[in-house]
Amino acid sequence: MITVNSVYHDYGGKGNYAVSDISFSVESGKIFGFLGPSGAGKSTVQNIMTGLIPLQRGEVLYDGRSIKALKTKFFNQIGVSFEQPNVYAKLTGYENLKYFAALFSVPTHNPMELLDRVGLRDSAHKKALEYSKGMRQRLTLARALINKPKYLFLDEPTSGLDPSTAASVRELIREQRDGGAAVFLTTHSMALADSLCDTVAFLDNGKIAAMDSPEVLKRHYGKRLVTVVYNEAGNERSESFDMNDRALAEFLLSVNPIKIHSQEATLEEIFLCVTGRELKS
Amino acid sequence: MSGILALGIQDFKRLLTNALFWVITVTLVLIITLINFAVPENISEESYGIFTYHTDYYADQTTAVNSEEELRQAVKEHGTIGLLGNDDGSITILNPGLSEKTVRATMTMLYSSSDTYVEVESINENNAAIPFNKRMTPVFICFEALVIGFILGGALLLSEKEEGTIRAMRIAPVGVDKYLISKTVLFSIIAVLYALLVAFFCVGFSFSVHRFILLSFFGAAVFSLIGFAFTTFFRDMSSWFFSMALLLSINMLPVVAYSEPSFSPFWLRVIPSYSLIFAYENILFGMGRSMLPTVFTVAGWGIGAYLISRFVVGRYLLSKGRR
Ligand SMILES: Nc1ncnc2c1ncn2[C@@H]1O[C@H](COP(=O)(O)OP(=O)(O)O)[C@@H](O)[C@H]1O
Ligand SMILES: [Mg+2]
Repeated sequence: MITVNSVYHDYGGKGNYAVSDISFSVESGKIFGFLGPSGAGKSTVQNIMTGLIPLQRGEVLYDGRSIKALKTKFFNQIGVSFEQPNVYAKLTGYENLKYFAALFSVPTHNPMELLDRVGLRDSAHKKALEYSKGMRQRLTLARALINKPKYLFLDEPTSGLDPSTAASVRELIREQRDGGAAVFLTTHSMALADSLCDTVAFLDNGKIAAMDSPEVLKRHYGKRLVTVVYNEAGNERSESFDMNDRALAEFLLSVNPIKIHSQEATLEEIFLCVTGRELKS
Repeated sequence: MSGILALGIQDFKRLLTNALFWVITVTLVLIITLINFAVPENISEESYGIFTYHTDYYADQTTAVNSEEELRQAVKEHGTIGLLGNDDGSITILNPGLSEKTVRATMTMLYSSSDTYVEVESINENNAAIPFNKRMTPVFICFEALVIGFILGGALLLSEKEEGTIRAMRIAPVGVDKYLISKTVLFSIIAVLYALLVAFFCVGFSFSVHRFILLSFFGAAVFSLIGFAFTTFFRDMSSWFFSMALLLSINMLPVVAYSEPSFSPFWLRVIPSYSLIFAYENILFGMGRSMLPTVFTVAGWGIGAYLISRFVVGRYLLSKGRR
């Protein structure tokens, strides 16, 4: 289990916190999703958890042991895929995996099988230089999995992938969870979070705005969500409200409603509802 | 161990696609060609006659002279062996700078059958006998072969920074020792091969290859390690290149002392290439100087460079918690 306790981070050291008071835990055999618009602080949190950014304030614990006390050997159990695909451009996809695998002192996957899983078997012997961004991203994902990590970190694993590849990547991530890994993933895709995560945290402006399983979030907010379809200068428009929001009453008075209905919310709408902000900027 | 090998192979493959690597390799070939075509004859064929004083040895190629002074002068000027008869009937061979092997072989030929006591005295302080271009071989070895890790190690390290792969390295179970040793050993092996090529093609085979390999391996390691520490502070190739070239030029200054031995101020002697150039001269031309000071100097530099590099690379390049 990974536990994050009251983590803050200030890049500039001037009191502007990129993330603040972040607390949550990722259990083994579960997928924990960080959902938020770009700039919310998702990558910052992931980088603090993997140790790429020094921990300034708060705690990050791996099975109770502080990240500050972890030795080089511990990194045999971690797999990380980065937001910016970073691979050796002059080496082939296969070589990238093969040499990376040799750095671990634990059993590793066969590079070719992994490449196959991420749809890169045919390009295995091409230099990464010739890969498209999406291919490099999948190579980074494969590299993150090579040491059969107990703790897996995935930063925007499906962004920029076509739907069918994204689906197979999702399946691959599920398998890691079923194999007992604690998976932490960040995304700004509501669909990915909804289909994959056991727990979702909404990150807005560096703070966790809501956190629960997608089902609970939907049940909780979905019951109270009201959509008003109204007429504005001949165009049909719609707006969603929390049922208990006073603004709903005022809004109804100020427009020309066509129809009003309550519905089960999507994560996207819930995000908007909780934070007052669109997920995609 | 497999980690070190994997990192080494990975770097080697990346090296093969690096333009700088091929520039250095082509330069190596140019240097060998230059040295050989400027002075085609080999130093051991250079000397023919033998000068003698106070001996009863006589053969076709010997020239007897009239005093010990004259003998020493002749040996220096002609770069050939001198036989000096001593009062007790023993012989001293005056060696103007030929390899010890050549001298011993000559000595065996001349005196194997008799029971005369023979001693060798090296009198080659100014090396008049070694052709200028051949004498420059140590210089080329130092500034071409040995610095390969300094230049290319830096280039590889910077591309790891630019590609962002260094971040993957930071969260892999690779310690700074593995990282440094894999790269250092790779470049030392390449440096040894390149140095041997230059030596074989330019000087021949009559030198201690073992010592030569050891010197090249550890000498190159010193440069590679200094290079890694130095390069860590740069972000990209363009900002690094000029400073790298400047540092290389400073490292070349000891060539002045090598050409003009009377000029060797302290500051020049502390530059690593100083000891290395003279050590190569010693090995390649059988100067017969003790290797002990070289061993201490290179060991000192090696240990120092490793500790500095370990600190800098560990703290500023590989440390988790850096961008
Ligand atoms: N190296 C950095 N230096 C200063 N500010 C940064 C740095 N990296 C990210 N930030 C800032 O921190 C905030 C969160 O960024 P990030 O964690 O990358 O968000 P996300 O991954 O959710 O898009 C942003 O405002 C971003 O500008
Ligand atoms: Mg991000």
